[in-house]
Amino acid sequence: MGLFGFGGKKQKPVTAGKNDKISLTGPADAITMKAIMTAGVRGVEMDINLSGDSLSLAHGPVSAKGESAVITYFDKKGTGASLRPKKARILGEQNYWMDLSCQFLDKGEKVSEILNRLNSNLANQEYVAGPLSLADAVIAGNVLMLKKSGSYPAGLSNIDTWLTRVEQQIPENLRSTYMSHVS
Amino acid sequence: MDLFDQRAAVDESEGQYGLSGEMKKTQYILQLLGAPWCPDTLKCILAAAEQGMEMTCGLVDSSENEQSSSDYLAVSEFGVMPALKESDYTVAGVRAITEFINARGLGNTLIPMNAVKASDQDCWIEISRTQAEPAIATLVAECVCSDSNDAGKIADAKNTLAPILDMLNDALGKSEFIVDKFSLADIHWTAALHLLSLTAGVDLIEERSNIKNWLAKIRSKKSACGQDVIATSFMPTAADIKAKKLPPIIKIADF
Repeated sequence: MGLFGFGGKKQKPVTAGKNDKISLTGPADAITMKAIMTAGVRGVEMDINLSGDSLSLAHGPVSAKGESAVITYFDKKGTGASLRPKKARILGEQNYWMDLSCQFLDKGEKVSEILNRLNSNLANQEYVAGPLSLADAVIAGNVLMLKKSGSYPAGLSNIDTWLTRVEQQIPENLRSTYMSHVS
Repeated sequence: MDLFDQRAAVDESEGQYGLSGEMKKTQYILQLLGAPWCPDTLKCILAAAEQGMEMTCGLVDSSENEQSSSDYLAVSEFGVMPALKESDYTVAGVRAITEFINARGLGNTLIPMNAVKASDQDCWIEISRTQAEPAIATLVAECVCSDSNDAGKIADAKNTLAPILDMLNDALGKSEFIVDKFSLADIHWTAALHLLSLTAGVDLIEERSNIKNWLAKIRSKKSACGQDVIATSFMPTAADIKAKKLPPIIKIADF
């Protein structure tokens, strides 16, 4: 390394090439549904393979495993600005709902209590944490999985309206393909 | 008066950081409810100290299922622990709190900007939370919270942890911190390994030189925001955990 630390070799982060296509693999469970909805809302094009034991992503030389890593990667690689709120309190709110998703909804626990709370919140706001955020994609994944498995509670009209609103965020060229995997 | 004000009251005497008009960026002292054996609580304490946010701490005794009490449910509707209050705002859950503190705090963000590094950070956090921490919780329960020291349970937990810590040790052989620069992944693993170091599983750290050196570095480095404070100095000892004691306040001395 040279004087003042200049001239030293800096390790370049691994990055995918422009022509590398993302492929997502995972079982047909709530975690994979959340990842698909995040990719959709962020306008990320990818191949989806609903098989395997756990969620993973490959993008050229880059790979990511697990819900948080995959969702973060989609958010960063998506079109336009990140969905992570800049304001601390809204960010906290987004992450609170994402924690509820992992801690309870994925396991089918406290489903009606949490969805009733969300339904009542959505009477006064368009999205889960104020503006559109990652929490919308994640909770939409949970709701779609609950609908798919027939365990979605009835009478949550605000959630149904919100779900349509979230689906509309997915670009038209991807919407039907992605929704066919999660519906 | 809510549970925050009962258990983690802010001392409003003159000269307190944030109450004397000296505070520049942050406006309020944070109040945290959690437990000393809970790694998620320790992560919030570390995040506050690293980012120069003063915080008072109070116990919610999860060993007595106090997170299901009506007082706690009044501040965290679904019983999620830990919980944080900033003036009129409350939020719960480790991800929500650590990232809130990160965004609110005085230092640079602890979340990498690069997509691959941010994704790696989250992957390591998930490994800590879903794979390492359940085994560490068993060791803490056997060796610290009680003196049962069940040899079978301890051996099982250590066997679970060994390959996970091998992976971490390899990662730390390639960079100074878990994901290049100091990040939230380091905070998560510091809390988890601090608890492990208080148990019969301490040899799992001692046997892995990269983890051992990284932990020593974390335990001696100044806070990420440049304040004259070592975040790990607020971590509870085994005696604190037995006595169900959290540090009453995360004090930023040189603000």
